[in-house]
Amino acid sequence: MASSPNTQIHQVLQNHNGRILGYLIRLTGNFDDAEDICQDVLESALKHWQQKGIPDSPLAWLHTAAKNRATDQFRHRKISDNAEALLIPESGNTASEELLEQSLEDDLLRLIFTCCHPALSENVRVPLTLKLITGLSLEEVAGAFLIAPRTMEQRLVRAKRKIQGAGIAYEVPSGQQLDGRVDSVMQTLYLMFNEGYFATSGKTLMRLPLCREAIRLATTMQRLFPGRAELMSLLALMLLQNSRSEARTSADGGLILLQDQNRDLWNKPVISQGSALLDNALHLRQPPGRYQLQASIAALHAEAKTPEATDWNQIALLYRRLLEMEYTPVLHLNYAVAAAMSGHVEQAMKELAQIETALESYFPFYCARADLHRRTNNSSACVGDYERALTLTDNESEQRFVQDRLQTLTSNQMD
Amino acid sequence: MKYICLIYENEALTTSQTAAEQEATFAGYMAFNDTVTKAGVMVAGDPLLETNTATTIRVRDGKTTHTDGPFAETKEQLGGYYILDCKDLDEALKYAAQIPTAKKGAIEVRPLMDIGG
Repeated sequence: MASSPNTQIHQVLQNHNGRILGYLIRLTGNFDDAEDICQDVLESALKHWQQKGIPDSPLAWLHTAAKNRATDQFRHRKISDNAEALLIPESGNTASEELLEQSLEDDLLRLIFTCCHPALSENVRVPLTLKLITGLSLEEVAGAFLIAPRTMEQRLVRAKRKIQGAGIAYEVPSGQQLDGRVDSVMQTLYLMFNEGYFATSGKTLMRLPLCREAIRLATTMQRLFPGRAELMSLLALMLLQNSRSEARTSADGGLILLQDQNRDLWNKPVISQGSALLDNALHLRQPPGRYQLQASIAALHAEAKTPEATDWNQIALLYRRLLEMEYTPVLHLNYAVAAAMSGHVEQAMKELAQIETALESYFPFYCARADLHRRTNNSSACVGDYERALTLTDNESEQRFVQDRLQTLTSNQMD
Repeated sequence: MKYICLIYENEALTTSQTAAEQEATFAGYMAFNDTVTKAGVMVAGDPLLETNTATTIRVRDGKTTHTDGPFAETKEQLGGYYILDCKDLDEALKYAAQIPTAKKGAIEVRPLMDIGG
C-alpha cells in the first residue's frame, strides 16, 4: 500500500525525532530549549518538504536546520558559552555523512539511556521515552496511558526536572555500568511493548503505536549493541508476539485466546524474522536470560501448526527455568497452564492452589482455573471462576470473552 | 556536583547488634571512608545518635513548640549521612551502594542545591 507524501514525511520526521532532539539536548544542555527548537525544526521541515519533497539526506537537512536554529537562539539570548563552543568545530567543513550519522546515533543513544535511567520510576520511563524519542505527541502518549494530557505533561515535567536536578549524566554509559544500564533500557522497552500488547483497560486501538515504537527502538538498540544475546532475544520476543496481533481480536474487538486463533492470520514473515533472530541469539551461547527463555516459548507457539501440535512439555520446562531465574506468581501461573496443556491437569491444580492468594485479584488466574475446571467437568466451579474473573477487568474485550464462555457453559447445561 | 547520602535503617535492629556485628559494621564504615577519601569524593560524613535524642521544633506565629522525638515516626530512621562530590548521579549511586547500611537499610541520594558563591 503506497502511503501519501504527507504520511511519508511524518514517518521520516518521527524516525529522526530522537536523533535531532538528542543532538539539541547535548548542544543546549537543556531539555526545554532543545524541545522548543526541535519542534520548530520539525515544523519547518514539514512545510519545506511538502513543497519541495523529502531531501536526499533528510537527517543532514534536519541536522543543519537544528544547528542553525540553535545558533540563532544563542546569538539572540546569549546563553550557554559551552553550546557556542560545541557549535564552532562542526560549522567548519561539513563532516562526512557517515560521521554525522554516527554522531547523531550517539546522541540518540544518550537520550535513550537517559530516558530509561534506573533512577527514574518505571511508570515514567515509558512515557518519557515515547514522548522524547519516538516523536509521539503529548496527546498520543497520554492517550496510550488513558490519562489526561495535562496529567501526563506534569508527569513528564517532573521526570525532566529530576534528570537535570539530580545530575543524571547525558552520556552513553561505559565500562562496568553499561550492562546494568542496557538492562534498564531493555526493561523499559519490554514494558512499553507489554503496555501496548496487553492493554489493561479500555480500547486497544490507542495502544498500537506502543508496540510499533518498542520494536523500532529495540531494533535500533540491537543494531548499535550487536552480539548481546538478550537484546536479540528481546527483539525476537516482541516480533513473535506481535506476529499474532491480527489474530488476537475478532472483528468486533473481542479477545481471542491463543488456542482459538486462526493461525492463517499469523504474520509468517515476522515469525521467520523473529525465529531467525532467536536462533542467532542461541548460537552466541551466552548464559540464557529471561528474554531468551521467553522468546523461546513464543517461538514454540509460533511454530506450532495447531494448538495440539504445540510442544507444551518444552514450554513447561522453559517456564520452570524462568521461575528459577526470577520468581513471580504470574510466571508460576504460566507454568501451571503449560503443565496442564501437556496433560498434567492434577499437577496444574496443585500449582494454582499455591498462588491463589497472591493472584486473588488477577483476571487471567480465574480464566485459567475456570478452564481447568471445565476440562475436569466441574461446571459449577468453572462458572464461579468466570464470574469472579468478570469482576476483575475493565477491558471490554476481556469482559466479552468471559461472557461468551459463560453463555456457552449455561447453554451446554440446558442441553 | 555534591550529593548527600542519607542513611536510613531500623534503629531497633542496630541497637540490638552483638558486639561482633557492631565491630563488623564499624570496619565496613572505616573501609568505605577509606574508599571515598582515596577517590577524592569525600566532603563530609557522620553517624547520628539515636532518635531518642532528637528534638523537633516548629515556630508558628512567633511561638515555638517542641516535640520530643524525630520529625516523623517511621519504620526506618535517619542514622547518618555522607556528602560526596561526584561527577554525576551514576557515580554517586555507585558509592552509595557501597555504604554498609545499603545491605540492610536504605540510602537516599539527593543532590545539594548549588547556591553559588
